[in-house]
Amino acid sequence: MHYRLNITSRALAAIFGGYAFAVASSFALVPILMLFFSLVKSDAVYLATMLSYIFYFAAIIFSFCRSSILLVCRDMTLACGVLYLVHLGASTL
Amino acid sequence: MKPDFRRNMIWLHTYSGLLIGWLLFAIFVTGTLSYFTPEISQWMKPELGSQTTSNKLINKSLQMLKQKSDKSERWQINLPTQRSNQFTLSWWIKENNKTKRNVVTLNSQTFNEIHVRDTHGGNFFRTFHYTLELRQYGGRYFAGIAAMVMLIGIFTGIFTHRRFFQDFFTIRVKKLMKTVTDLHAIVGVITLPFCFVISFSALLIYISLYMPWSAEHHFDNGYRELNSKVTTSLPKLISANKTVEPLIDLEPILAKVEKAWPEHSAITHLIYERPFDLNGRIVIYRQAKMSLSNKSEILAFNAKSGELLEAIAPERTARMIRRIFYGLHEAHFAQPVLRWLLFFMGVASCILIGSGLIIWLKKRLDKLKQRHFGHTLVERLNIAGICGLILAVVSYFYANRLIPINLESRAVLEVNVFLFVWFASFIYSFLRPALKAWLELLFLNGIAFLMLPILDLVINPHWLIQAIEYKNMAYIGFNLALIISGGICLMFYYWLRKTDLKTHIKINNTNHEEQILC
Repeated sequence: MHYRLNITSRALAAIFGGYAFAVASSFALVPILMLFFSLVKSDAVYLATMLSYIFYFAAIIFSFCRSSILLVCRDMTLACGVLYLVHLGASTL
Repeated sequence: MKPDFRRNMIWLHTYSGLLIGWLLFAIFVTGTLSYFTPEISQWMKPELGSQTTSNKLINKSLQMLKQKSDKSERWQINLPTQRSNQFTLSWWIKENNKTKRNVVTLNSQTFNEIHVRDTHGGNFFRTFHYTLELRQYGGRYFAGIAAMVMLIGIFTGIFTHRRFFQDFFTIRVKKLMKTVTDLHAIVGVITLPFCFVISFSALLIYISLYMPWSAEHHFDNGYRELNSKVTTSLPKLISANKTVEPLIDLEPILAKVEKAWPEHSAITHLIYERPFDLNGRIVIYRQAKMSLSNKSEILAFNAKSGELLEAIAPERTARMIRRIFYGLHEAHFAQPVLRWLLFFMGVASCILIGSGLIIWLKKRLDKLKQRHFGHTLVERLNIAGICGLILAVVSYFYANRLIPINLESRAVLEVNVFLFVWFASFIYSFLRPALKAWLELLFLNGIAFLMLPILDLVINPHWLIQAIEYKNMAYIGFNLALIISGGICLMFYYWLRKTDLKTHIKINNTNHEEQILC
């Protein structure tokens, strides 16, 4: 049963956590692209949206190779948090 | 969970593939068929016959459109091309604040109207491969999930190889299971870049559905506003409120088109906006040959003076990246050789997915003492998902020929035949032993493919004769493709029967030897 729980939680983390991570990246990449690549806002949003799939993909692979599910959840939450802070920081500045 | 990275990847490969394999198979089969959408439509609309094309058709069409109505807001002329034999004129008339489109399909020689049977033609496969006939019920989301899983599948698939190059050059033909495994590995390597581009571009096509959040947040009007900011188009035409006679001699403009596009100046269609207005504008669309991007190349002219209007500004790079992926996915640019190459890549991907599903089951069944219902379900789904789907595709073509032409909502009926046969094959697979069901459905597929060109000849021999007369390779090629597919199905049927008999004999022999030893 432990095995099944492990797999299920990893799958959930991959699907939903990964999607949240991708959405967060599509927000956080906007100020980064605008600042470092001097893109216009519309271009940055467009490109960030397209690039977010790569983040989703990486998150799915990641959640199946971390040694424990708790580490997956911790790292994913942290990463989402950092991306959210980037977005928040950029929109308040 | 096993801690080893490689084993995790193999696990992910196995189960993500199993979960969505049949859906992916259906998407890849119908998607591969849609490389030839216009050609399939030609076969499915035999009334159109073979049309010759030339720019001389345009002037006469304009004259006809002028006679149709003097209230038209917009005209469109679709010329026949090398791939499509559809020659249509459309005109839009405003009625009670609604603009209604009227269409006639014409014979390009006599300009008589042709009444085409009501069918979706090859377009059905194109829409099915991303909506799954569930447009209102989230079909496009399922297709998107399938694309993501395909990406995961090809990435994790790399890790299943212990010796990448050695595996690539190995094929063992004596044992059924070994052959399928080696085939899966080889095809997997060959189609790796193809599958990556197809799946990734599929995701990019629907960013507005799958990832709209950033756009929703940054723009008041969401993705729509974002799109209008990065996309360039012709300026909106403003009416001059002054009525004039429409231009009906396009020769001078066509001469300018030739000059602007010295190579490949073939036109697919042209749009005449506000033909009865002083500000009328003619937009000419070039055949997609010269660019990967899915943005159509156009030239716009002022209808009154015939002068070339300012070109559309080049698009933002971000937009262009998506356009190129979109164009790569649709492959309208591909000329016959490349198109066939892409088609075979598609077929190889279907083989990849199908063989993967078979491997999953076989590997487990061989080790198993007692079967779980899940194994039976997978076994039957394999039969219905692979053989049944192909049978459904063939029966869609049969439905096109056999359903009476005057029947109401005929196009819907054809699609229903497709879905019904697919479902029926699923039921059938439960009624028969697995191997028998495989063999019988394969045999049926083969016969059905081979009978179809004959049926076509019996119903109306004129269609094929006319196609040969005009050297219409789309029509002849479709019939040839049917015969070849039928041959492959039958060959596969005999091969499977032979290999399976062999293994049976072998098992019996070993049993026999064991008994002697005992």
